[in-house]
Amino acid sequence: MGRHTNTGAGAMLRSGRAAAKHVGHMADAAYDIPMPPARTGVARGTVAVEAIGLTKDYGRGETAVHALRGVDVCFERGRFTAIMGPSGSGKSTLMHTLAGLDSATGGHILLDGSDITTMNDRELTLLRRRRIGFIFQNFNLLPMFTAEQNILMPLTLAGARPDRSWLRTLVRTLGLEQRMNHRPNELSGGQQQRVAIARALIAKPAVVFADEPTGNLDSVSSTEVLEFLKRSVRELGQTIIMVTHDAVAASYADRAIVFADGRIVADEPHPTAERMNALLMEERRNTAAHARPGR
Amino acid sequence: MFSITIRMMKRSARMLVPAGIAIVIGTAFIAATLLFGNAMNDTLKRMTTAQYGDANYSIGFDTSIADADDADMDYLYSRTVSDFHPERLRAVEGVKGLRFEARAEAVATNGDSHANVFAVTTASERGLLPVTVTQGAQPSGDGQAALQDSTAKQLGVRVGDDITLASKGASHDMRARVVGLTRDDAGAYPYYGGASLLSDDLMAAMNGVSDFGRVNATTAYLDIDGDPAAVKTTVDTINRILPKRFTAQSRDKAAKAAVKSLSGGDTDIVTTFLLGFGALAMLVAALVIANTFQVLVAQRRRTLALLRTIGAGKGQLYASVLFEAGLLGLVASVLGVGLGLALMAAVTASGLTSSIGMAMRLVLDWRVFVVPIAFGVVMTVIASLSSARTATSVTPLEALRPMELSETRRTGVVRGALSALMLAGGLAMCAYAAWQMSRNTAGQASMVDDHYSTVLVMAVGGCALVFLGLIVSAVYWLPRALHGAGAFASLAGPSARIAHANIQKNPRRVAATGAALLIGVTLVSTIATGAASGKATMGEALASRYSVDMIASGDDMTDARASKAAKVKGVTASIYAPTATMNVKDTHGTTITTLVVGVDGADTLRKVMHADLGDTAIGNGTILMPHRSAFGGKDFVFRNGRVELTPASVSPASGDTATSDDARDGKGALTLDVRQADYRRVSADYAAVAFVNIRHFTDGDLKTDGHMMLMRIDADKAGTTLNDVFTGVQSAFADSAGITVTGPIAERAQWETMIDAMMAMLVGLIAVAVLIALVGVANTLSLSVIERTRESATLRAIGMTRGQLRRSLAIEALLLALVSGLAGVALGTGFGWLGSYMVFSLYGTVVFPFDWAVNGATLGIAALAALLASVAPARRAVKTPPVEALAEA
Repeated sequence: MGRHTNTGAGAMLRSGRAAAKHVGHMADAAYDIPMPPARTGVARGTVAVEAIGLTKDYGRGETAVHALRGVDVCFERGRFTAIMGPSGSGKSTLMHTLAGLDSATGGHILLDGSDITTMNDRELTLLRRRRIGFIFQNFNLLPMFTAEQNILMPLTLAGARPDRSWLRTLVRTLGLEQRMNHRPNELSGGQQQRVAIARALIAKPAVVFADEPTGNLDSVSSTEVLEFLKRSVRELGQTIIMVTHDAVAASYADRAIVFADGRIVADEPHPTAERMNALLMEERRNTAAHARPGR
Repeated sequence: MFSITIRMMKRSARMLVPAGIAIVIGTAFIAATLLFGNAMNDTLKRMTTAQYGDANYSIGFDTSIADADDADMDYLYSRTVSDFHPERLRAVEGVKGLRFEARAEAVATNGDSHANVFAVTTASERGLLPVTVTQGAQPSGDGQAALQDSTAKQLGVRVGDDITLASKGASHDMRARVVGLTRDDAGAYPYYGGASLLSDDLMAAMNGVSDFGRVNATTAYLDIDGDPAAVKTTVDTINRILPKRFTAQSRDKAAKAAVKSLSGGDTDIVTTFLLGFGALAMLVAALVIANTFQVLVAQRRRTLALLRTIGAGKGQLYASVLFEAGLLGLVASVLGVGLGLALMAAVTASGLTSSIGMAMRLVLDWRVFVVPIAFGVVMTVIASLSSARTATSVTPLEALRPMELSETRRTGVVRGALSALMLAGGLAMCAYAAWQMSRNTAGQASMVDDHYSTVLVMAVGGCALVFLGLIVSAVYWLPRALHGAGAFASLAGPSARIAHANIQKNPRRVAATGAALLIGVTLVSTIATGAASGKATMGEALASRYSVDMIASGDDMTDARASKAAKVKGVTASIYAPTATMNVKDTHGTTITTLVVGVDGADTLRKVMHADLGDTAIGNGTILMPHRSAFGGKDFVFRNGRVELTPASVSPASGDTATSDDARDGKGALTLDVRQADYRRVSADYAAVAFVNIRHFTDGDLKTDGHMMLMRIDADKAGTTLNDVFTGVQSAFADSAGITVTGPIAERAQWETMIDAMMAMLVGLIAVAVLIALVGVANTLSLSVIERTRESATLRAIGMTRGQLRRSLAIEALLLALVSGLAGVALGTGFGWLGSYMVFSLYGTVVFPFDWAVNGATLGIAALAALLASVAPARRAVKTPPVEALAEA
């Protein structure tokens, strides 16, 4: 792996420079991985997921869609990060590729220390089983299993014995004790999403990816779910990366990244709903301004 | 609307393929059956007119043999050639040729070679000959014969050689010159493989009459010339000359009548029987089609809802589904007819049928095309009716908000009540029939005595009701059985757990698929069990009635031949013994025709006999007699323990035994001490078979009439089958005409061959339905996979490997196939046992075997096919990238 002279892994560690904002740039050629010029004073060991020069294109030639344009981003352990952006900005694609659900066209992704862009399907599957948790917008629970069976599904697939005390903790934290023997169609939306959260956390993953977790919920359930997510970060030490278009949801996070047109355009620590709305409006105005003279 | 339908069809083409395949198989079967019926009819027609040669008219009796009574038969078989006034017939204007059909069986000799000859009359016109002359010419003058080429080869003669002919009826041997060789190209005499031609004087001699005019004839062939009016005049003239009850008929009319009488009334019966299986196959296909369309409509709900939103009416959606079904049925049926045609064409072209004596031709008529296509289309449309109705229930609202479909439709109460009724009624009928049968076997009064057929129909009907009831109620018990089996299988790992859960998702579909397989497997198992029971029961019955496994006897039985037979694999012991037919009088005064067999002591006899002979030694002066007569079972009692043997002679003409001339003169009588032992029949031709010491034959007390070979057979120990032993022994005696191999093993072997052949045929026919059912399993799996795309993607996202997903589908298929298969085997064995009990109880104690071979093979095939069926859907399932789990519906 080639390195730029002024940046290197060791140099980074030693530099200890804090960086408030980070702006991505176009990825370079194949072997040289340009390291980000500045990184939060983060020791290697505390990085949960890192994308280096991540590129994703759909299609070819003239009709090619550049969903991700050389994204460099780093996510710390034990933090709740929100990724926001307008539709079509590529935020979902970013999450899919970070989670190993979709392949990248270029660049590298380091998850919990391993480069997942070089993994085959079986390795990725095992990764998803043990070290990644998912929460989907439409819950995606398995309808023919009870809540308890759904929660334990990743362990069942691994053929591993469940940690009963951890299960009890999760269930208690998420308030699901009365619901363990019910099927998904007997649970409300909020309850289903909480079951999904428990499923995501049962294997004690390195990272949890949540795609619009409150998208199909009413405001009360949304608040519940977001509270749980925050608590699981605070009390259980999880790392959560959440994609959302709701500024209020983003305000629960420790850090919010604004994504637009395949790039990161803003990186806000301790976001508030107003600040995020403002950022989004600003982004929209920029886009509209660029769109006017016949592009 | 139709263009939209066709477009939708194109998109779901993949889903329609298995249903299409099911229809293709079913219609191909029906088309092939109809073609087979046509070919059989055609072949029979050709066979019956093969004897015509080129004749266009025949003279025949006015009643067919099937309808003739004894008086008719007497009249018919006492007609001779001269009754027909052949000279006057030949003189009629328009008659170009005349040939009487008379037959003779004779033995031809050339030096040391002998051969059996089957001969028919010759004709002066070559065109009237029923066989083809391949060399030389047909007999014209006296003392001439044209031999069948196989006979000539056997004798080692060529055209120009002389042979001697002898027959049972001939007063003395006749010399004949071979003037030609014949071959049966038209298949006129398939039983004999052909016929030789004899000149008229030889024909008369072989039939034991002084001249040709006295030969018995019942048919004659005419070659009549002229325009239709002239022909009519000729025929009228002929009819006036013919004796009473005989008329001249055209070839066509006579052929039709002959075919009807030959086939016992109707070849259509065979065709109808086969079509029954075709209907069964189509029924199973209908289940597959119904399943497919249900899922098709469910998948298309969004599109259908959109169509409703923009203005399509309910009736249009209904018609659209029916149209799609009709189109699918039409296309698949046409393909099926093509496949059936190709199959039959291949069979007839390959000459397979000519090897069994009937060369079949491909005969097409409109039924072959119209019937399968009509059946296929109608069946498909009917099967799609319920889905069409579901399509009309789609509301426009669903276009805006897709509804998660859940299986909330409760299975009707009507269905439950109906099936319970059928089950109860069927079981009651079966129980009653079995009870009546048991009373009968116990010797008590029962319905069986006078109304056996009613009881039998009751049993069959009861079984049918039970079966039908179980099929109709399959939606209740089959999913539960699968649940149980699945719970058991879940122990095997996560893939099995997923499979177990998936199977319970759609009980109706799973029940329909399982029922389709159940039908086929039950039928196969029933037939196999019935056949096995029949064979075993027959074997036991025969074994209990006979004490010696196999005997071979005949005029030309020699030691050399016997030792050849003794070497056959499976013959564990044998005795070659001299025999004499004697009359024995018992205390009651009855004369018992006894076959006396000379053996070298009782120990030799014990080698081949399955009986307890006590401590008899069969020394000099002793005769061993059975306790009971083989005919009727009457006990034999002998005065003072001594018995007198007088020679009996077998009259050649009538086969009756009578006191021979020697006996009347008091010569050849022998008095011996009698010992009796409990042994059963040795030969079925004599009331008793007795054993004496062989010294009586060697010393001349008894005159040796012939020889007999007694054998003990153990096929299992030798690692061969009964049939092989039987044919082996038979072929050891192949070069002699007079030796017959009989005995329980021989009978058993013949029975078993016949039963096996019938079973193979029936199972082959049912296999078509089983095949379609397995296509149904594949279909259900692929439909399930399509429905579960989202869930499969979710599972993949949370860590299920591709291998695990494939395994879970395989387990699903296996569970479905094995549970249905096991249920079918259990049902079939039960039905088979009941049926055997009802039918075979009359012949002996019924054996209730479990046919491991066929049942195991059926289950094995079902399991293998299920695994294969899961390959394609599994591949489709793993192709779905997990990203789709996150996609909006």
